[in-house]
Amino acid sequence: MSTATETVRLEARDGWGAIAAVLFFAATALVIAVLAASHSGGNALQGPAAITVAGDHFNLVRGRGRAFAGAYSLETLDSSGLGILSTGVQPFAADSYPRIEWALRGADPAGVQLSFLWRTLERPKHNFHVDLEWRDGNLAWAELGPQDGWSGTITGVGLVVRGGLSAPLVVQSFTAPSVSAGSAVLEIGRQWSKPFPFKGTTITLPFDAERSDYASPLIVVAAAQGLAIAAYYFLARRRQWPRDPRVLWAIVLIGWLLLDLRWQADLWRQLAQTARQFAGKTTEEKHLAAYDHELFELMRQVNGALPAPPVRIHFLADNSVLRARGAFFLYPQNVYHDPRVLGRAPDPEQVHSGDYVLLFWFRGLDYERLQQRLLWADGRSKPADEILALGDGIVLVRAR
Amino acid sequence: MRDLLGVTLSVVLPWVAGTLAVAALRNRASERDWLLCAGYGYPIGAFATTLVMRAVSLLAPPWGLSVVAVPLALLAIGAFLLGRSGEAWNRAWTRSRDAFGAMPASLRGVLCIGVLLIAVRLAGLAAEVALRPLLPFDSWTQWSTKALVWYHYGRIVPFVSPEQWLSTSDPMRFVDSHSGYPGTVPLLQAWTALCIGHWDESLINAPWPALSCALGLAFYAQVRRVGVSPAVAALCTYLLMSLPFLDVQIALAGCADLFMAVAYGLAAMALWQWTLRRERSDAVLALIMTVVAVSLKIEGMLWALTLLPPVLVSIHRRAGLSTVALVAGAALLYVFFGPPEVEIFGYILRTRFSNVSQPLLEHLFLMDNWHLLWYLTIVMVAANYRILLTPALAPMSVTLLGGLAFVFVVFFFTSAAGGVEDESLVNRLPLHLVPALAFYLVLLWHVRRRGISPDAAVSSPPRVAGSGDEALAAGAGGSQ
Repeated sequence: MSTATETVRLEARDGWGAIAAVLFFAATALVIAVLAASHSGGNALQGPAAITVAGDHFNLVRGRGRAFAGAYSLETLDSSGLGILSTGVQPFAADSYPRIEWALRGADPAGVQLSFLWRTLERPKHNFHVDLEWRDGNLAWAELGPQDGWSGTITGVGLVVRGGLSAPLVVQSFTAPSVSAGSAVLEIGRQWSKPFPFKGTTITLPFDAERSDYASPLIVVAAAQGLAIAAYYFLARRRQWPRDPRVLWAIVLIGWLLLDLRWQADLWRQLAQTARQFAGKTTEEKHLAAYDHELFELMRQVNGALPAPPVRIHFLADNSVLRARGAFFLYPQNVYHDPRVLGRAPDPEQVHSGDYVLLFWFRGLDYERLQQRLLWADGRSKPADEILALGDGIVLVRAR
Repeated sequence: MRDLLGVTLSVVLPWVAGTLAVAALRNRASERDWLLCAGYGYPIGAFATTLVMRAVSLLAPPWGLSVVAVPLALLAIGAFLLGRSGEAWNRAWTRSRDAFGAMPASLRGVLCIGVLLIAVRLAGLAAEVALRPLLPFDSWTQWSTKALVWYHYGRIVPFVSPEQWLSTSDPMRFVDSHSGYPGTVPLLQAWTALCIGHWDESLINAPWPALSCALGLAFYAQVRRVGVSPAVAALCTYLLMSLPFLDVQIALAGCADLFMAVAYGLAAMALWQWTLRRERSDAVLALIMTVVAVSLKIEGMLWALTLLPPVLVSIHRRAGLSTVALVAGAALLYVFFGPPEVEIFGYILRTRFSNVSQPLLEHLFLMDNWHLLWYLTIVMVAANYRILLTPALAPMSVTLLGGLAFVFVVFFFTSAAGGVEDESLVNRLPLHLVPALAFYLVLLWHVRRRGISPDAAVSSPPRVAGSGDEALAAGAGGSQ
């Protein structure tokens, strides 16, 4: 008996890596299974058939638009900045469909706020609503539960659009997808493998997109590690294994490597994208290939109209980011922009003779071309010569 | 080709000069650790470069490549001559090669995999830096603005506040979003542009990948000095270099936070080594890196202050810990009885508590910014709480306590709480502490695993060279 026990102990010692791996991956599978079950709508492997309503089945309640080719194009919002589409649906049980999706195209996701509306058989006069999240710019979705009022029998659905439409919003379809534990696992896989492209906010929020995940890989790995370590202690106690700290460290390391594998893959994916966008280009060509190339192009024209540096330039724009970014493209000229969010015009006495003033979609100061002067809102003015005008809203002048 | 040569020169010359300077500094060390010299060498060489640029700007502008490069080359030659009497690099190489050969095959494999993982990561990040123009907001509103202007005019021209700019008509007084920010990082960008001969918005960021390599080397070398085996040290270095938020700061180069993290981390590690070994070179390295930290960002001074308590603790533990307790008590008194607002180094300190715990928890424990670092920190500290304030560990514990307290106060009791709420600051300030924290975790792990009593006699400190184990053991032998 003691020999057998000794053998088990030795095996446990030799196989510390395998024990750690088995425990960790089993715990991870368990955590993912629980996560998937919580987003399955109570359906194990197969959920009820998906419900899809084509866009042209919707009726316009607010705004202006038209149905065409199986879709509905919401062209403008009403005077209060609101657009609403709605329709009745074949009644279905909310419990079986914990997720809804709208297939959309056309509008800039940053410019509009979308909400999902619905009615139930039980409370036919009450409109329930939740805000929708954008995904990849062409899908708006929501996970719903009883806490949102998503219960009972759904009889009607709708879409509320707020904000400003830079282009018509085309509603292609509404779908309550078939959801089950299996589809939830696939969805988790999709969420965890999505890229995190580098953008302006990445320097502070590299994983901002994880907010819309069911759960981040980090929390799942941490929970799995906790479970695996607990299981190891339990097993060691039951089987009288000596507690081997290498097992604990291996569990930590495997989890870390797994997280880092995803991050490394994302870095490579990003590097390939960066290379496609910028490789072999000069700094100027890179700016022309960048997301803000239109601004760069405008600033290049402004630069072309300026004498050799240094000249003093007041860069005035309502938008603070535009102001800061545009100003950067003018260095090494001596360019000033108000660092506060709400940029103000300088006082007339702060605009010195010879200073350049760039009005870049700025409402705080006007240039009167006929009178050749800068005109402040309170009536004060300063003579200035026009140097460059780029369409409506961009004027470069030189104070006399 | 010219760009490649220029970038290489911009990195190699300061690096060689700095490495030889550190080697000269560590002339008397029984085993001169060239990885340590190289790790500390780049940030010190880069800082020396900015000092030369400041001097030239003051005395004989404009900058020229040779005007800046010659003093650096002289520094390198001088340091080489001074350091000749120490262990030669080829002997150190032979020693390292023999040690590698003597390692079991499995550990050699772990070492190689660790090094490979680090190399792959850093190579990818360096390629990203080489391709991408400046992206982060701060980089083109307050850092590279200065670099571009200074490079263009060949000297440091003043950046003044918006009020001063508006009141003057002098075209040579410039302005940006934060005119008062220190010039060290922009000077490094200007130096790189000087080497390549033109303004290239991607290549001027060469110091970021170079600094990240230096961080890896210095961290590895310091962990080795603790007594950790090469394989595990390589693995620990990989874990540090794998942290996504650190990687993002390298890939999206242009901000000063990576520099701050490296400077503070290297200072804290050298300081801890000094508390254990009392080698003068460690103290000098800690001091230089502290000065570098102060020269990088305004909060560098506050980070530097957190390095004072460990010095006190290492000289007299009881008095040092009492001082720490007194400072904590004074902070509490301020919260209850102090004036509602006081301005310190650009921060407005408030007695009002701003609860920003939600974004903080999200970013440290839910999002993958730091992999498992903060979970591991909690577990390691909780599991080792009995030894945290023992003599050998107390200085580093106090360093970390000071750093965490600094972050806590800034986040919860200053105007910066807004930056945590809007999530612009929530990861950046903790980043400054992360290399030091990673070293501390390795230290805890090592002390616990080896079962060596960390009760070093700090009132009569050991003067021990060689491995950290020997130093720790010697300290244990001489405990009070």
